[in-house]
Amino acid sequence: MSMEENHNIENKFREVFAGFEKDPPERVWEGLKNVLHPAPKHVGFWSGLTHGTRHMRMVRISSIAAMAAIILFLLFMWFSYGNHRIIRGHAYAGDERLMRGTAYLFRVEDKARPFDSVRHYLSATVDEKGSYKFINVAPGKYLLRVVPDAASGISKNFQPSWFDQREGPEEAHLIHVGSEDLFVDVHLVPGRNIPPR
Amino acid sequence: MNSEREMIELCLKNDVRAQELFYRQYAGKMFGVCLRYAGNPMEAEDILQEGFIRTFLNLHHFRFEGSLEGWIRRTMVNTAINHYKKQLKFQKEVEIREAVTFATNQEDVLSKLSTEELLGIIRELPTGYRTVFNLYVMEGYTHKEIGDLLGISENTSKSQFSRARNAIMNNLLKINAVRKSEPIR
Repeated sequence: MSMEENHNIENKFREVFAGFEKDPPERVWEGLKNVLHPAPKHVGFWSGLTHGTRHMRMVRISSIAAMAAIILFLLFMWFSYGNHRIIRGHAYAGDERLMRGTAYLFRVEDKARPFDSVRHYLSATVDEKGSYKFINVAPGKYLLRVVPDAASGISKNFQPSWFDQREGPEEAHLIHVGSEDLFVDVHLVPGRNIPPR
Repeated sequence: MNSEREMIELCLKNDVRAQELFYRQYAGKMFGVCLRYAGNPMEAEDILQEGFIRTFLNLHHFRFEGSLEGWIRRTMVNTAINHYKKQLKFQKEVEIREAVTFATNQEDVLSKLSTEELLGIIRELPTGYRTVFNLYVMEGYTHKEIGDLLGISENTSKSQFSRARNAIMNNLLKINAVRKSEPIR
């Protein structure tokens, strides 16, 4: 093939395609418009899990898994503690409220031998206003004991006592926890050095 | 819209009407360019769309110093080159047997072919040959520049161009043979 022939071919192509035009299909503009001005997407729940990039799908699935885990945890907590109650009240030393101490709650396991089968269940602080509170108390029978703080000075005049104003567990009153929260005030037993009124 | 500058300024503000006007003004010419670089019309549509996206995204770089059409055309060619580079990852070039003899006067055949037929001949070339042929013949790049654009050596560009031309000659021979064998009506 001569150089001249080569140039003729190249010139022919140049000549033919120099002003070559052809209208593209309308879909090209439609596609371009969608890219430049995307319509807001309303992604449905299920289509959101199957559409979009792999990363976006993973983010959505992870979010749903996290929400499901939280819901399961809340359900577990509700079933575990949903029927649990609160016992609250005040401790009194005579006519005054006890200034600091500790309240102990004992669960009575055996209905036939209530005072031989107690086991420690919860402890709570009696604050400067004489208030105490036990939360998440399962239904059942309980004994309550309040011990005044040695630093409060009251321990000299009042003994550690069981509900209500009893020296020993055998004499103590049973507290029945059922479907409602309870309000229980405890009165301490006076010490031996306190003169009777 | 009175001027090209006004149209561009509106396009830069993402005005859809100006963008459509801009597109319709240049789509035909640019589709012609894309058809030469693509292996089929669908591929050409893809290159055209991608090229216009790049054009709109880079329109703020246009300095009004040269021809807008030339600037868009360069964007289209670069898009086609990127397309070609992507394709190289997935397909292996098909070797074309070089034409050894050219018995007839090719000019006769060439002059009888329509634009669509010539386009068909270009499309039948393997992507690499087609790209080099277009860049050399139609865009006027040197083999050194083509090598830089495509990431190949200057000699590879020369050899691909030579093979492209031979493949075209082969096709012209075939067409000539078919036409000669057809009965005269």
